Amino acid sequence: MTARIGRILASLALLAWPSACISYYDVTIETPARPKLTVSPFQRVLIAGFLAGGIDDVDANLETVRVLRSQLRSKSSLKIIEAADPLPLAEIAFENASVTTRLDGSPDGLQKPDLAKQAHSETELHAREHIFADVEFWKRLGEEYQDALIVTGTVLFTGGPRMRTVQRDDEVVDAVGRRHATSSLAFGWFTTYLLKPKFIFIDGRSGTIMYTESFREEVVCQRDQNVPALSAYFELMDRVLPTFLGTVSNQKIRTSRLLFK
Amino acid sequence: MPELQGASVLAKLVSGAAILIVVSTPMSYADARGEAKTQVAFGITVAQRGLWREATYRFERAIEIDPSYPAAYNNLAIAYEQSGRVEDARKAYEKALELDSKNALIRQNYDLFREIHDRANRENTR
Repeated sequence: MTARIGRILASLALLAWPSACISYYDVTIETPARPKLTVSPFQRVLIAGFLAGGIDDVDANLETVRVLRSQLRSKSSLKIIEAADPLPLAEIAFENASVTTRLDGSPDGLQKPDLAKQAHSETELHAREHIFADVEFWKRLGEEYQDALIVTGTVLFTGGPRMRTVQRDDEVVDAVGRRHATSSLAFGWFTTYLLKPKFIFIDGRSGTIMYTESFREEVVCQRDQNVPALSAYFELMDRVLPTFLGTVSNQKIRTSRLLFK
Repeated sequence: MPELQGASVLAKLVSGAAILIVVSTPMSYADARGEAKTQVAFGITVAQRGLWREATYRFERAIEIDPSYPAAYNNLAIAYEQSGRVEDARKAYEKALELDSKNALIRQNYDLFREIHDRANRENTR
C-alpha cells in the first residue's frame, strides 16, 4: 500500500516537474510600430485647430495646437505647417450653423445663439461637430496648404472639486521591521481634471475624414495640492501623445517580453 | 537444422535492429533538444545584454537542430520583434503556439505583440 502511494506521488511529481522548472527571463525590447495612417501621399501636416470646451482657465484649442505641432516637429519626420494661429473652429461652426439652421433647422436641438457661447460640456461640443462633415470647407483649407494632411478635432478639458472615493496605497512597517503594502479607501473632496480629446485626420485633397481617435484621461489631486489647471492639462496630454504620434509616424514602443528555455 | 539456425540468427538480427531503433530514437531526440537548449540558453544570455543579432542567430540555430522546440520559436519571435521583422515575428509566435498551445508565457507574449501591431485594425472611420 505504502509502495503504491509512493509510486503515485512519484508520478505526480514527474508530471508537475516540467511546469515547475520553467524559468523565464523578462527582457525589455523596443519594437518599431508602423503608423496607423498612411501619410506618404502628404507632403505636409496642418494642425488646424480644435473645437475646445470645458474650463476657462486653459485655452485648450491653443495649447493642443502648440503641443501637437511641437511633438510632431521633434518626434516625427513630417513637415509641419507653422500657420500663425489655430483656426477659431467654434466661430466657423457657428457661421456654418446659420446656413444649416436656415436649411435644415437647428442642429441637435440647439439654437444658433447657443453655438456662439463657449462649450462647457460634451453635448455642447457635439452640437458644433457638424463642422467636420463640411467637406468643401476642409477641401478649400487643404488647397490653401498644398493638399496637406489636416489634423483637427475636439478637446474637452474639465476640472474642479468633486466628492469621491479614491484608493490609497501605503506601506506600513510592522513590529519586527517587515514592510507591508496596504490599500485603503478614502472619501472626500478632490480636484479632478478630465481630458477628452478626439483627433480627426482629414485628407486635404478631398476634405473627407480619414481617421478619428478618441481618448479619455483623468487625474485626481488632493485639494491641498493646488495643482494648476494648465499643469494637469499637460500631464494628461502626455499620456495621450504616444498614441497620437503612433498614428502618423513610426514610433518605437518600449515593452517587455518573456524569454524561456 | 542449418535452416533453423539461419532463421534464428535472422530473428536475432531483426530484434537487435528493432531494439537499436527504439533505443536510439529517443536518444537522438534528447540529444537534439539538449543541443537546442544550449543554443537557446546562450541566445538568452546575449539577448539580455542587448546583442539581438547574435541572439537571433542562436534561436534560429536551435530551431534548425530541433524544429519542435516551442521556446526557440517564442524567443526567435521576440528577437524578430525587436528588429522590426513584424511578420516573421507573428509566424514564429504562431508556430510556438502550434507546438505548445497551452503555454501561458507564449500566449502572453503573443497577446502583447498583437496589442501593438494589430492596432491599425481598430477604430478606423472613413
